[in-house]
Amino acid sequence: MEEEMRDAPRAPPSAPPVFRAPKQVSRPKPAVQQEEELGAEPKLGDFEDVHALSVSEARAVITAVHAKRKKEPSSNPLGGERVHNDSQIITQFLDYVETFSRYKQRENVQALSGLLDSHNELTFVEKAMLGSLACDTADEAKTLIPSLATKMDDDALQSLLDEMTKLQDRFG
Amino acid sequence: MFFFKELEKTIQLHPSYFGPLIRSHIHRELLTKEEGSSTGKFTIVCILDNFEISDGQVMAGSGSAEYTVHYKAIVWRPYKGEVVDGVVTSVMRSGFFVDCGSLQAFVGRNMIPGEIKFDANATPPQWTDNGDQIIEKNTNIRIKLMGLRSEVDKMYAIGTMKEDYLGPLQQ
Repeated sequence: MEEEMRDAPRAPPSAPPVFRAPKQVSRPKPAVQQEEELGAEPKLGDFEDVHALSVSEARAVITAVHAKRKKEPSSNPLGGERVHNDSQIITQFLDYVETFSRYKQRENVQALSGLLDSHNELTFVEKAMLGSLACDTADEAKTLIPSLATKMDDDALQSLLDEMTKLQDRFG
Repeated sequence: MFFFKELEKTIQLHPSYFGPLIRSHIHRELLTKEEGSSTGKFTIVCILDNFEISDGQVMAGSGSAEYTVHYKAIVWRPYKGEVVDGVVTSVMRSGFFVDCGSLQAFVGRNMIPGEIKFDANATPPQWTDNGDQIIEKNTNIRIKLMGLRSEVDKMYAIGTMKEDYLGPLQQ
């Protein structure tokens, strides 16, 4: 009996017991809300890597969806000629994109996104803003979209804007 | 600004809809309930026609089935500091209101450049600098959003015109 006790590994000198406060039981705190804004450094929150669309692109997609619903009444769950659920908000947005899309021809919208996609340094948001706002001068673009200021020099930006103007339908 | 966003929605379906047309019922439910709705952060403008439906699960106690629908939609989300175009809807001495889609923005007197003055005698009333800048009802205008407030199903904003390159758009 004594023999066995000697062979057994010595228990390490036990550390004085540490008393910890019980785990706090409380509601989890809401995540700190960071200010989401478009400034020199755009903070988009949960829209960070979501594809942004310019007004013209949005108009192109919406028109295509509505045209398809109209063309295939059998697969349109709203039935018949209805292309949306007649809510006031949708009507307001349809008017909005119709008024403010600078590029209404399908080919021009495609050419525009091709042109903007060739500039890898621009983010989705900057491309969308450039496409929506249709600026005339590099200074105007940099004032309205502050995050552009450090990304492109004025000459490159100006030539991009000139290219974009050529694709534009006359506004108004 | 518009975004192309993937979203999810749980739809409950009454047992009377169970049958071969179930997909179409879910689609209709999705379009009528979700299109045009606002979550407080963004507004869903248009839902694309291809969407995925999970396997349905019958809920205990009611017999209704619950489906999770995964879809893509065009949503519109305004940001603080964003430059947007809008249409003037009403003009007052204290400022004017601008509609950007479903967002209503107010531009107060302090947010309008000093040289643009209110002219109550004109019909309709307008803000003008007696030059080519005239702000009246239905003017297309470019403003910058300074602050946003969202309520259930509706968003409101405060805008400014007191910076370079903002103001009425040349027709």
